[in-house]
Amino acid sequence: MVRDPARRRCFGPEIWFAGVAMHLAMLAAFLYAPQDVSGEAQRIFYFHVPSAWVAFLAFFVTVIASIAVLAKRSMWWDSLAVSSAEIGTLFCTMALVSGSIWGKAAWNVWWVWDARLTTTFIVWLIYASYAVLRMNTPSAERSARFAAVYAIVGFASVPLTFLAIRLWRTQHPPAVVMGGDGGGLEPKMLHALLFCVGAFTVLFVAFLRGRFRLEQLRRATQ
Amino acid sequence: MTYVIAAYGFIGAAISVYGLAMYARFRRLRAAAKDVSDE
Repeated sequence: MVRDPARRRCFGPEIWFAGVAMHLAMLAAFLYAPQDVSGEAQRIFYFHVPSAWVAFLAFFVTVIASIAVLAKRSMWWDSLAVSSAEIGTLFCTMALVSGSIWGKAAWNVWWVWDARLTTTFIVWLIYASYAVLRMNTPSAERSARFAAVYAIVGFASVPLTFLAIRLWRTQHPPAVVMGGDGGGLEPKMLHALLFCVGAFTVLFVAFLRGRFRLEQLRRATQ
Repeated sequence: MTYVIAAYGFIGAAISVYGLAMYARFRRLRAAAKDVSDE
């Protein structure tokens, strides 16, 4: 049985888990994880990496939902795609800004046109444009189909960004997980990072559910 | 430490503002939907 969107709540109970997990993640980043030899600014990493992870996860959900939109012609999947793309853009912004602040602390510059930074910025532009594309296509069904094709083609930039630090010599630090030589973390740092990744993932699920319900309600009231 | 506070402050503010804006928009739409169904 499908419940009336107007009778639902925006967030489910997972938003409370996300709130607690995010506070614990802060404690893990500041109290549990030891200070790195590179200084205090390294602690930015504990929220920067999970932001990027959630952005990629959200774009992956978007591309899966977009494929389903084309295969099933279902607006349910379109609601999921638009919700996930918006959240992915938010977390991609957070990753870009926190990375830029770390860059200022570590390299004394806010931005360099390095392969990882540039490809991440391209991903951000693609998914920010996705929202604009949707706003400017009048018919809902046409908008859903155009946006689905755009999201699938645009997703090619996501694995490129993931591989950028593995394929090219970049100024960005090497990958700490699955990074091969030059990567790796001290166990306590790795535990803190994995906890933060978990907390951000729970937050993503809570936001996705809320945004999806909002999208369904918006369509029901139109 | 200033950079750490700036980065965590930005992320915290972005998450809070986005979550609250989503909740406010949902409540507004739900109120509008209820008004329509009550009429």
